[in-house]
Amino acid sequence: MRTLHWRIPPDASLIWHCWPGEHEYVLYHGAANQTHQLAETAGLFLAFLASGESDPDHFQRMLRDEGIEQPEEVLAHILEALHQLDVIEPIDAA
Amino acid sequence: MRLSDIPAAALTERIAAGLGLQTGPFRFLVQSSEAGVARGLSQLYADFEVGPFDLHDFHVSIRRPAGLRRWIRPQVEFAMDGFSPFIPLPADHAFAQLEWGMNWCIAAHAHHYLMLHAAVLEKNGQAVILPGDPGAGKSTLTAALVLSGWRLLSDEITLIDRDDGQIVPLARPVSLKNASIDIIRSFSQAASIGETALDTHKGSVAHLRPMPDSVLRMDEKAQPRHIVFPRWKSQALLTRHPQDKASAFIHLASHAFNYNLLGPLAFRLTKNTLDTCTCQRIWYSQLDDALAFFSELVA
Repeated sequence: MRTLHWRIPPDASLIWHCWPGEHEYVLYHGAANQTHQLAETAGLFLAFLASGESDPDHFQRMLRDEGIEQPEEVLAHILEALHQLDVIEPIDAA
Repeated sequence: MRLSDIPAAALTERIAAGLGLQTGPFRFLVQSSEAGVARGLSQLYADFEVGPFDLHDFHVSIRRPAGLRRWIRPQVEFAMDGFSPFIPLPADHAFAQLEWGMNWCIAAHAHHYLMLHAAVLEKNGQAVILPGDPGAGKSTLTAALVLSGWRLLSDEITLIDRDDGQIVPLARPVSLKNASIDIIRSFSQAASIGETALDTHKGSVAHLRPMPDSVLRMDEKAQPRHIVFPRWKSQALLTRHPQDKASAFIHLASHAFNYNLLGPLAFRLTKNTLDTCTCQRIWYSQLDDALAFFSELVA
């Protein structure tokens, strides 16, 4: 089964920030006019997508390389949470 | 011209006709024939600049609604431009209702500022923002700081200038509730506290007159440097804990009056405010301990 690729919706109007030395992000979602607090990994995944990446397997390898335990579960949780907030959407990577 | 320059005998008449009152960046035209309003303004706004002004931001009144209730257990209602946002209250709550109404005018309309629900005070050029959940002891602490040489910028609505991120002063009487009224009365002989409105929806309410310095320096903005989330707890020794800024951000945003309305601008202003501030939580039971903490904070 092909892994879904993801992107930030073009009209999402996201702004995020993480203060030096801290491990959580604040995220402003312009399209919904909502603000959220995100775990560091979720914030980094948004930055990952914003850099033009879309393959979650690549991000999962990065999590594993950083020594994060159970990266599959962490990634699945990130994808579910961010998708629920409508700040990421699946794309056809064919 | 200051309100205290108006002879006592003429003040009631002035207020009945409409008294221009400058508080921070806002000019109110206050109109009322209620003696309680005149007494409250006379005592608590004595140092404030009064009109006549050419323009007013808000035209407000405290008046008795028509009908039998004018005579039997009389009530008063607050109105802005003829619109009454609140239900009428007993006539002896007139001044408290004026204060709540003035807060409402600002909170509901002054969207050219980011408005946080927080007290804010300044010393040594450093503004300290005190967000607080109800019951956290924010107003008591604010009053004690005011009476200990701190400049009051606001006890309820922190105005953040959208252009430069500085705090715009909005010194007004500090609202005290229930036990805090006597605590502050006994805290300092300099405390000038107005009449107590009993049995309001917030319990007993009285207001502390701001110190003249806070009123006279109302044009002097202040740089936010610290955010402190206070929490009064019986018997607690003073403890302080660092507060992460992401959580502080969410608290400030969720308690702001107009965060959602300002959208991305509010996000940037809140972020910029946190960029310039230290952030911590304190638990305390003794005002003196808390005051020592705040002195050290801005030393």
